[in-house]
Amino acid sequence: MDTRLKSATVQAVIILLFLLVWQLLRSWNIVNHLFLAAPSELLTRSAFAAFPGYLHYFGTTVNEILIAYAIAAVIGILGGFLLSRSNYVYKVLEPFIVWGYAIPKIALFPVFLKLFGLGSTTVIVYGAITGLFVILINTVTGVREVDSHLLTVSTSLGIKGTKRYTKVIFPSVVPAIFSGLRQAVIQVVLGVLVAELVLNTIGVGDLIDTLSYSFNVVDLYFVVATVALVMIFVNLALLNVESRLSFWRR
Amino acid sequence: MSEVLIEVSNVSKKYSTRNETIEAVSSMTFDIKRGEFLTIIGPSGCGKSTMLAMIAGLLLPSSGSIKVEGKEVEGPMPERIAVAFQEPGLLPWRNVQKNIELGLEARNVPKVQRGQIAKKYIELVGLLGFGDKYPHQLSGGMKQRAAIARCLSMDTNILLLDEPFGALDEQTRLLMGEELLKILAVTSKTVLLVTHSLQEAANLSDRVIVMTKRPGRIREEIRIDLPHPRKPTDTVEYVNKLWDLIREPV
Amino acid sequence: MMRPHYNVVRLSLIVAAILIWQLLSQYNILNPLVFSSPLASVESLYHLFGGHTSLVGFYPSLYATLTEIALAFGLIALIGIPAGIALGWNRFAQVSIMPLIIAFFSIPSIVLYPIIYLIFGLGIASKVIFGVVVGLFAVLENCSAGAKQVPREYVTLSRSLGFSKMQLLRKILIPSAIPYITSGLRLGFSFGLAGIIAGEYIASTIGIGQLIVTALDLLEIDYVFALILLVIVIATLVNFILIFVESRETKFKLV
Repeated sequence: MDTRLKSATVQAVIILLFLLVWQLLRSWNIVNHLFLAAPSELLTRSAFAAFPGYLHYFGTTVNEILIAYAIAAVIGILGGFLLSRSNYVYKVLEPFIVWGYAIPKIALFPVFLKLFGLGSTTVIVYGAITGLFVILINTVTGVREVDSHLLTVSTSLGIKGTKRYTKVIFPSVVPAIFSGLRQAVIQVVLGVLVAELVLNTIGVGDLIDTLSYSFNVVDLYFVVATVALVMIFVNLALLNVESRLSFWRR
Repeated sequence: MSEVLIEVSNVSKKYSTRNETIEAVSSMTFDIKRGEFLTIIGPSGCGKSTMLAMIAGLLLPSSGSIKVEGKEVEGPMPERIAVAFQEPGLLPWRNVQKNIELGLEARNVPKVQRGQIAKKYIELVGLLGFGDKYPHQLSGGMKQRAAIARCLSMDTNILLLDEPFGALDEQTRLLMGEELLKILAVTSKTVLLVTHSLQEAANLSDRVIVMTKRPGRIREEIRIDLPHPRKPTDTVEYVNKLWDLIREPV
Repeated sequence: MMRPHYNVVRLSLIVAAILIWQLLSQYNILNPLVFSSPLASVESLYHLFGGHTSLVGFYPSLYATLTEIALAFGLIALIGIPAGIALGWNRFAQVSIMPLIIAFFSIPSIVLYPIIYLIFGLGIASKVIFGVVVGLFAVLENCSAGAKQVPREYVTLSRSLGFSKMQLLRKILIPSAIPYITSGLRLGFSFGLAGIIAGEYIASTIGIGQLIVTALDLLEIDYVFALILLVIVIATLVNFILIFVESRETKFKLV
């Protein structure tokens, strides 16, 4: 289709322009070599060679992300279902949840630090809390959105008990919950990395900080670019899945 | 003499709110015989839909009793009664075929059989070729056909229709009425229809009950002994009669 | 049984929470090395504002953070709202440019922070830039959604009335998109504020976040909590102002 080709071209042009400007900023020495590494430098063998040394940082961080995410997902989904059971309870607590989402959780970070110490635990707790709200809010929305007429119809058809959940309620809430889960990925990753940076505990966050202090610019940009590309890929993939799941929603 | 399938005796329905008690239906008594097509008609808010919901077992009467096929109604009876509503209530994440199979799934009908039954009724309601389409791809009339197919697939003796064509434009409405009669000619059922449309009542019914405005009681019963298909010239006197009954205060 | 009005319950919950917190810390059930008490935090906050405190540099840091907030919020709004609306209104931009923006903002912005302070130093500039990077996407996304949802009937109406593009914008698009704009700003500002505080924790010579770190190092828990309280109050105020603006601008309901 014509529009698809046009937009793909525009995108390609923008990306190439971005890479070009980036490269030229370095090649023409507009920005000092201590601050910027050019794409050409990142694609050299030495940049790739240094990378395996950093793998265990990535391992730790991924581990923390997975645990934090699991905690956020379980609490968020369960909490979301519980909260929607009573309309009264939901109405009372709703402003608090919205407020909690709007408050920078980072402000409470010192408390976590004091409670859980300087290690992975604080990172995981903070990461979980960052992701929790998005999942909770989306789950509640999903459950409250369930069309009550569908439930009436199900009753008249004789659909009882677990079947009501498996055939009507769950399929109805899945897109909303998935949307929350998708957004939480970025939040949890962000929370974990921020915590690692602030605490200087082992992980990609800390790695980036160290590389920047030591002016190891090439490795710094390499690691950042890797994280960037991975996250872009993951997010786009999740968006794709979400739109497939939500085809009937609107 | 046909046997009585539905017996409504002295049924009332009251709703209490904080400030007042509202009587939606006030002491209605009537029968529906096997194979009859009964329509209940009345001014807006007269309680006709409430009456249907009580027969369907979706609401309990405040007083009086309802017997269906000799059994007291205490809840939905999906083996005896199938209900179609104004809103088709199709599950948006399932295609037409799978939507029709929903009621059969409640009865644990095996997969192959379900598919066959569903296909049979898809054809009967005129949706051949649309079995794999999703609700958002269908027009209002087509969605309602699917809902009716779902009702028919339950193979009950009794069919309750609560303003099934209310959301459709007039032409589609008249068309669907004709189609309904064709379908009923093939699958003998006892039908209770609730509608606003005087023309519809005159076109389709063997008997019409006219209700008063709230609290709803039976104002009058009218027999329509015309053969099908009915022409507008035949039904016009009945339409006039119904209109007089509805607009004139008791 | 009549249930109490929502606000009564909410207020009681807040009061109860504060009371319980006070009691728990007063009787040392909460570790005093970790938790301060409501009274002690407020008292410390009072000291901070009064200038009679061991923690130096409160006012310069306060001004620095407030400046960063003002600049970051200003930029987020000035860039985000027009850009977001343009992206939502123009169908081609939605299909071509929006995916790139979504892709860019999939990157956890924190990984860009070391690069930012490498280039821009430890002062106000890098916090502002970082705050904008963190908060911009929410505004872009919401304003774009707001522009997209303008019912086409309104556009047809405006054409038949002979509106110019400017009039269409002012009289139809913006009023109908206001709820999206304000909710975008609320999210964007809260993320932006979080970014600024995080930046001050990580690498800064000045600012409330930096003060919190200092107070932590000095084990002055009361001052830590006082400053946390201050940040929460600022965030809550901004949130309320935006909610107020939104409710004023949307007294009507779109038919």
